[in-house]
Amino acid sequence: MNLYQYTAFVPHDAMLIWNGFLWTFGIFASSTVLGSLLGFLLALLLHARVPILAWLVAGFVELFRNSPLLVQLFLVFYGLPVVTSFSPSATEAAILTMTVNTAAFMVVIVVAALDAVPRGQWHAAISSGMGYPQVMRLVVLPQAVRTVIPPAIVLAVGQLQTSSLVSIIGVNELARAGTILNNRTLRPFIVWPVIGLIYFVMAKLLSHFAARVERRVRARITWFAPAT
Amino acid sequence: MIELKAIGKSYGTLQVLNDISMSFRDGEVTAVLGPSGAGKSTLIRCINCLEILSAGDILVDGKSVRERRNVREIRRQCSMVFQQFNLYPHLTALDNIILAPVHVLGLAREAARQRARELLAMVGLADKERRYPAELSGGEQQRVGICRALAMRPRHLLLDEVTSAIDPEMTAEVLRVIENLAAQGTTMVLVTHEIDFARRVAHRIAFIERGRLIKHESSDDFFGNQSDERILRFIQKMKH
Repeated sequence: MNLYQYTAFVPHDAMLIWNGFLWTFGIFASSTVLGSLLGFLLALLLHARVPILAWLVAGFVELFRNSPLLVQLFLVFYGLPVVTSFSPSATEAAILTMTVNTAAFMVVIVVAALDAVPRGQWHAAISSGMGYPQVMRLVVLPQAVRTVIPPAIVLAVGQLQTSSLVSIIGVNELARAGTILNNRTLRPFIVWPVIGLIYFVMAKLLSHFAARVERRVRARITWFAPAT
Repeated sequence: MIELKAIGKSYGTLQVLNDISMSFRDGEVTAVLGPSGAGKSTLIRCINCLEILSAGDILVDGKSVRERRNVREIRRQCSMVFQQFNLYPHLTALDNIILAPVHVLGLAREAARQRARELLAMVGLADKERRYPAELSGGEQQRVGICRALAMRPRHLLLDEVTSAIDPEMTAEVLRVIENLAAQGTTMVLVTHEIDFARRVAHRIAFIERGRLIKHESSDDFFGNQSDERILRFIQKMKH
């Protein structure tokens, strides 16, 4: 029996990569959407200095921004079943961890954007009799959204690359498809450039798409009438 | 009527306002004068609770600023116009004006727009309602700021150095608007450095120095019959 009999690429390998792509996209998209929403809510708690909760949010952010995603992933995947009755599948662990991790970074982005709205805007709004929720909704958030978008895109592109780490706990996403192909064909300089290229194209498309959204948002909440 | 009762305000060890008592009567225009850093702006910011008093009390139409439940009502009755305009940059001139009437007073949007258009016409900006603040000159922005304050139909208008951030050639149009309001009997407390303007529009002058109320008297007495050396020097200095 020839040890090297399966080293050739076969048509089915394309399916392996395609499935990997779908999983990567699914995990990335769900954790980015959920993580952004969660981060947004936590940022509001932190910004409003809600007693105790704000303190907890600050601690959560510090913890998750300053520890490796891989460690967080291991804690969720291997650790949760030990201390709770919840034993997540690899995919669940991946989405949960990436969501929470994204949220931690999003909190910082949103709080910075809220803080960037000048004090005078608060003064004008509260001195006309608005309460905190009204000031936030009508005056501060619409202005903060513009500031949030660019760093949020940078974060998303970063998280897309980082999602390759979840291959380690056995999620069949793109990086794991690469590992499988590499182990079988022993041709790293063919396999990894292809995988890398797919990530690259995804990241580029994401930035491109996000830039378009940003332009549209800017057009909708523009502070200047369109040039005539 | 706004009554200041022995108010004090300090930041840490810095005493900004010290034992000031006076009252602003309805229908009267009071100019608050004094050197920079005297506490003039802090004084009017205390009235609508943007600053919290360290001592004393302020009664706005009988309601104490020290009671939390009064704060929003007092703010509705005391509209403020700011030195830096503080218009909402994401809203047009018209939307700046109707925001609080719609969301605080609960006015119908169309009624609020109607009223806003009247106000804009009054300050000579009828054709600028769709402009964003960034597209308006400083003088125009401040006139929108005045409309925004008036749209709340406040009983009192607080103006905090409203011309200080505007180019000199643009201040006249803003001052003219304020003069008209004064002529209509709007109650105003205005902090200003425009001493000639104060003399023209104000019924009474409050002179503050280092957080203390030095003089509070009629404009005629203040300018025509002044015996206080410091105030005379101040008036001289402001004129040149």
